Formats: sequence, C-alpha cells, structure tokens
Amino acid sequence: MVDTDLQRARALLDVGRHDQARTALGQYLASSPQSVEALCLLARSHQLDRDYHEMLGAANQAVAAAPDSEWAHRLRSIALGKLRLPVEALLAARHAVELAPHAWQPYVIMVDALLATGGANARRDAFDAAAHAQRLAPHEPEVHNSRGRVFQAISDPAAARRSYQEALRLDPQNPTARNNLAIVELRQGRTTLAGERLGEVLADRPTETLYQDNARTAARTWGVRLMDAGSAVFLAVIVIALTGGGRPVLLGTCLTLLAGGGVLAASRYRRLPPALRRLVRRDRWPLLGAATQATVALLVALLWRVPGASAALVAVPILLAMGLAFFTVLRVRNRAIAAVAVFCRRWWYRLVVLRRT
Amino acid sequence: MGISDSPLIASIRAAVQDRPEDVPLRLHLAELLLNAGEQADAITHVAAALQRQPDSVAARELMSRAIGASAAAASVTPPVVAPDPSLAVDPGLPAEPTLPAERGLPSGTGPSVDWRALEEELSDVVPPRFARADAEPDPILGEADRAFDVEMSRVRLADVGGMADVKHRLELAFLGPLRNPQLRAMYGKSLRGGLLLYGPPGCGKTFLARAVAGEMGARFISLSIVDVLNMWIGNSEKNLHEIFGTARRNAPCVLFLDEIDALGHKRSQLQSSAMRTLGNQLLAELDGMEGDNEGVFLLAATNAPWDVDAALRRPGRLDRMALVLPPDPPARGAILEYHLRARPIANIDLDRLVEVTEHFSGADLAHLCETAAEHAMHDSIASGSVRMIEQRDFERALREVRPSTGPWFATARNVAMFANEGGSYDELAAYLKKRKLI
Repeated sequence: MVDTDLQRARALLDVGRHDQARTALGQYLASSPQSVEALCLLARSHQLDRDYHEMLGAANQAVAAAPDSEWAHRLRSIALGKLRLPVEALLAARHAVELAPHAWQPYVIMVDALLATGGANARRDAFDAAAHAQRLAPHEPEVHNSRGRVFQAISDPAAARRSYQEALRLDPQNPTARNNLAIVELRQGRTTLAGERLGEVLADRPTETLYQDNARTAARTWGVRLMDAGSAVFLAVIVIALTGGGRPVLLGTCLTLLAGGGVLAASRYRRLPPALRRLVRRDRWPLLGAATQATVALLVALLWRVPGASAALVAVPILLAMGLAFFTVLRVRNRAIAAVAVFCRRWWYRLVVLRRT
Repeated sequence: MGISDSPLIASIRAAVQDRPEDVPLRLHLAELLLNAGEQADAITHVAAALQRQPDSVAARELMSRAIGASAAAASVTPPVVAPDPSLAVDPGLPAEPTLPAERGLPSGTGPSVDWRALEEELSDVVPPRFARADAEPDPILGEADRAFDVEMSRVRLADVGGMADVKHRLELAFLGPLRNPQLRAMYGKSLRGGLLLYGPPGCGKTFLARAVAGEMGARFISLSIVDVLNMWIGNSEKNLHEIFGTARRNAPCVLFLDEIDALGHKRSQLQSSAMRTLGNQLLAELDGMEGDNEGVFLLAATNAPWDVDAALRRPGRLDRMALVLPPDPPARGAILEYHLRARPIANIDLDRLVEVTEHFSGADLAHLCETAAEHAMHDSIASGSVRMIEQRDFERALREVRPSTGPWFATARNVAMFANEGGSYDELAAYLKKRKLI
C-alpha cells in the first residue's frame, strides 16, 4: 500500500500535480518517516514549485535520515545554490561527489555550484568536473549542457555552441540546450537567429518564466541592433558632410543607406516568430531611438549647406547631430570595451587558467 | 383570537420569561409557535436556545424546520429571490417568484394539504425548476468489479447558462450529425474524433460534458487522473482498455476524460515509464486500434491544454478545441439564483451582483453565496435574532471573495503570446484582446 503511495507521488510529480504528490508523500511518510526516497521526492516537489526554503528543509531531513544518500546531498546543494549560498552549495555538492564518484549527476551539480562561487580557480575546477562528467556519461544531454555553461562562463561561445549542439543531437527537444544555444547566439550578436530559437522553445514551454524573460531580452536586443543600424547611417552622413561631400552625394548616400537598412531590417523582422515580433513592437524605446537617428540623418542631409538658409535652419541639425553623435560615440566606446574584455578573458582562460590543469 | 394568543402558549411564554436558561422549555415553546405558524417568533426562541446549548440536536432540528418554513413563506413575497424548486425554469433566465394562486393551487399552508404527496404526484409532469449541477446521474450498467460507472445523464444543454459559442461548436461537431444520420451519411461525416474543452477552473467544463451526454441521450463514462492513480496504479493499461471497450459496447456513449493534461501529458516531459505507457495506450485506444470507436464521443477537459501531448490533438483524436470561459451575465444570474434557491434571502439586488462578479467562475459564485450566508448566520448567532441573508452580506462577501480565474488568465496570456503559432489558441487570444489582457 505504501509503495503505491510512492508510485502515485512519482506519477503525480511527473504530470505537474505537485500538491497532490505532496499529499501522497505525506501519507507515505506517516508510515515511513525516515524514507529517504520520499523525502527526496518531497524536496523535488518543492523545487518544481520554486519554493527553495521548503526544498532545503526536506533535503535536510533527507540528509539526516540517510547521510550517505548522494541524491539527498545533491538536492541540498541545488536548494542552497538557489538560496544564494554558493559556498554551502559547493560543500553539499562535494559530499554528493564523494558518495557517488561514478555517477554523472553530482558532477553536473558541482559544476553549477562552482560557477556560482565565481573566480578563476572555481572555473577551472568546473571545467574539470564537466569534462569528467562527460567521460562518465557521454550519452547524457545534461552533461553537455553543463559543459556548455562552463564554456559560456569562460567566454568561449564557439565551444559552448558545440556542446549545446551535441546535447540537441542526443535529445532534439531538450529545452535547456535550445535556450542556452539561443543565448549564445544572442551574445554573439545574432539576434534574429536567437529570436527564432527562443520562439521555438517558448512554443513548446510557454509557461516557463525563464524562457519568457530571455525572449524579452532578445526582443530588446533586436531593437537595440536596429538602433545601431540607425547610428551607422547617421555617422556615415556626418562623415560625408564633414569631409566636404556635396549635397547630392550626401542626400544620395543617406537615402540609399536608409532604404537598404530598412529593407534589411524588414526581412530580418519577418524572420522572427510572431511572439518575438510582438515583443519587439512593444519595446518602443529602441525603435524610437532608431527612428530618431534616421530622421536626424535625413534632416542633416537635406539642410546641410542649403544656399540662403537662415542661421536657425543651419543650427538645428548641427545641434541635433552633435547630441546624437555624443551618445553614439559613447555607445560605440562601451561596446568596444566590452568586446575587448570578452576577448581578453577568453584567451586568458585558454592560455593561462585551463593550462594549469 | 389568534392561535398564538392561546392560553397554553401565553403560559409557556411567561414561564420562559421567568426561566430564560431552561432550554427544553424554550424549545417546547418554539415548537408550539412553529405549529401555530409563527415562524419568526419560533426562530428567535430556537436561536436563543442554540446560544445556550450550541450542540443541542433538538434545537438544530427545530431551527432547520423553522428556517425551511420561513423560506417557503418568503418565496411568495417579492422581491425575495427564493426560487421554488417545483417549477420548471431555464436557468439561463432569471426566475420570477410565482404566487401559489397563479399556479391554480390553494393559498395557505393548512394541514389539510399534503404538499409533499402532491409534489411527488406531479414530479413526472412538471420537470424540476432548476437543473442540479451536482446531481449524481443514476448508474445503469455498473458491474461489481468495475472501477467506473456507465451513467445516464439527465442534464441538458439548456440547463447550462450562457456558453453560446461552445454550444454552437458542440452542435456542429456532435449533436447535428447525430440527429441527422442521413445527412451525415450524405456528407460522409464520421462520428469519430473528440472535443477538448479548456478554460479556467470552476467554469463548468465537467457539467457541460454531462449536458452533452444528456442532450444526446447517450451514456456517460467519466475518467480522471485521480481514478487512474488511486485505483488503477500498476494496472492502468488494462483498465483503460476496458473502459474504452465498455464505451464501445454502450455506444452511443460519451467518454469524458477529465484533467486530460495529466492523463495525456506531453511525453517529452514525462520521466515515469508508467505514465508514458498510459499515454501510449490512450493514443492506441483513440485511434481505434483496439476496436471501432464509431459512436464513442470523446470529450476531454483541462485547465492546461498547453501540457497536453500534441499527438492527442491530431485529427481523429481530440481534434477540436473549445474555450469554456467564466460565465457571462445571464449565466452568472442563473448560477447565483441556483445557489440561493434554498437559502433564506431578502432584498438581494441580483443585477448588481451580476455586474460586480465579472471574471468570477461558477465555483467562485458558489463560494460568494456561501460566504454571504456565513456572515448572516454569524450575525444571527451573535445577536440571538435570526435574520435573512441580505445585500449587505453580499457586499461584505464581495470584499473577501476574489475571482480565482486571475492566475489562469496570467498563464493563458503567455500561452496566447508565445505558443499560438498554429492558431490553436486564436479563440483565447481574441478573448484576451477584447478584455485588453494582451
């Protein structure tokens, strides 16, 4: 009878009936209060509800009931990590690894705990743990996802992409791999591709808040890229104006760039899934920024050195251009610094940190 | 001289005034008053007795009798909304109180008329005034060793308030073809396939399924995840096969799969092999691989259609979806009337209640009535004077009871935004857009 309760609880957890699962587990625990399996399932039910305090409580009970249970320590590590206690989470993960050195699961949990603690040494250890997990279970998608996260942490997007692609080869529906691959694309500036991938993940799991947030980030980034395109047109117009290009050249260049950029942006926009398009439309500030820059560029091209123009007519585009130029240069500078930092970090890890192992 | 002025009652009343703590004496007086038709006075004395002895069974029974008599008396006094259950009224329409004289019946409640016998005699002629949402249909083909019953539903679609779109969809998919077999044959319309009802919890999906069975004159079998996990664990495939077999043998039969998101959860998200096997068996049964499903009408209900395995929604299986929304104003009126039908109420502004309960599910409306009754009862106990449920009780209850459909719509909003690529949720998206929720 009690085993039936446990089976029922497992099935209920599987189909998303967490409350009912907890009731069944309660019935089971009433007769077997020291059952580590029931306590771990209880912790898991709280994890699925994102109630990490309760999860930690159940995991602590499981550890107390069976100190040699790898599963209990692993769940405890997850709960501690979610409660932003990385050092304690790492200790629990190390316990789990010691108890089951031939299982891949504790290594994956230890990788996450190490990445959460931060620092070069922790990342190097995470790299080793992920590699070891891969050797133990190369057929497990989660092992490759874990390795992908390490590569992302050490700024190696190409290797991260390969890991996620391997996870997808093993499990084409794996939502973690699809989401993380989209994030890699997003960080590499392939916003349309990232948007497409996130749209697919969300179509499958529309209620996952993590994927929703990532989709919103992707939509905003797409808008910011559009603003960057507006900045490029604007800078081109300013450069031509200052280097003495005539009005026909200036106007022609401006119109060509705007038309070309518009066609390109429209084709990219059409590639986005409808949900992402809606999010792009909703986030108005980047779109407004892009439209403003394009308008100012056109105004400058139209009014630059107009014969017989009044001082005010000349001053307005110049002032607008100066303001926009300031912000554009600032943004270009910030992005350049970020890109250099990523580049340096990637090679520092490759050449210095990872070589120490 | 009124009977309440009888010397016996007057003496006992005087005795009660002298000995207010004597509960049996007070109850005796209340009984005499009740027999004399003085309900209000009787209720006051019973309430006083209950204050002193809350556990007194005799006092409670007497209170039930007194309140019942009071509610019956109140039903002939407009504008109290206390529908008489012996009248047939479409729940979609507001009930109008009817005087006994208008029904061609003698007025008054003299002992010479046995109302219960009369009602029983007329029960076949006059259908019940309200359909009972929680009515348990009679089992007609149950077998002793079976974990489910084949039932005959008495509920009809006319008993379901509102839901015009869903009813239209049902008419197109099931009822029309069933009523017109020749046309069905001419157009080559099969009776296979099924309808997935989805929407916020507590909005009448199960009731609607029973109504479809009743409308078809078909038998009704219901199956939910609770049945599977409570009774079938370890034996679920065999039982599922048996339930489909029974439905086929009893065709035309409505097979209702409640909480289909659990029975047919997305297989990619399942870790338990038992649930995965159950899902595969369900698919095989739906395809009729184990027998011909002609005449087996499949209805399924869920609050989370996005968790249902896509394979279940392919043609020939649950190939149509219908959104069951919170009740519209006429339906809300009917539901409120239904839940107030046996309660003592006075001066309830039904139109206002209907207006302020937008987004309330049927279950929320039931809870609202329950809460209002609680307030009135609490006041009665505290004051020692029994009173009717009034509008102020509903106003208080409205401050406490909030529509429970909010979280569902928050989730549904994300689904309509992110998972409507194939247009499966167009109906939901249109509703959310109309309500400016998207």
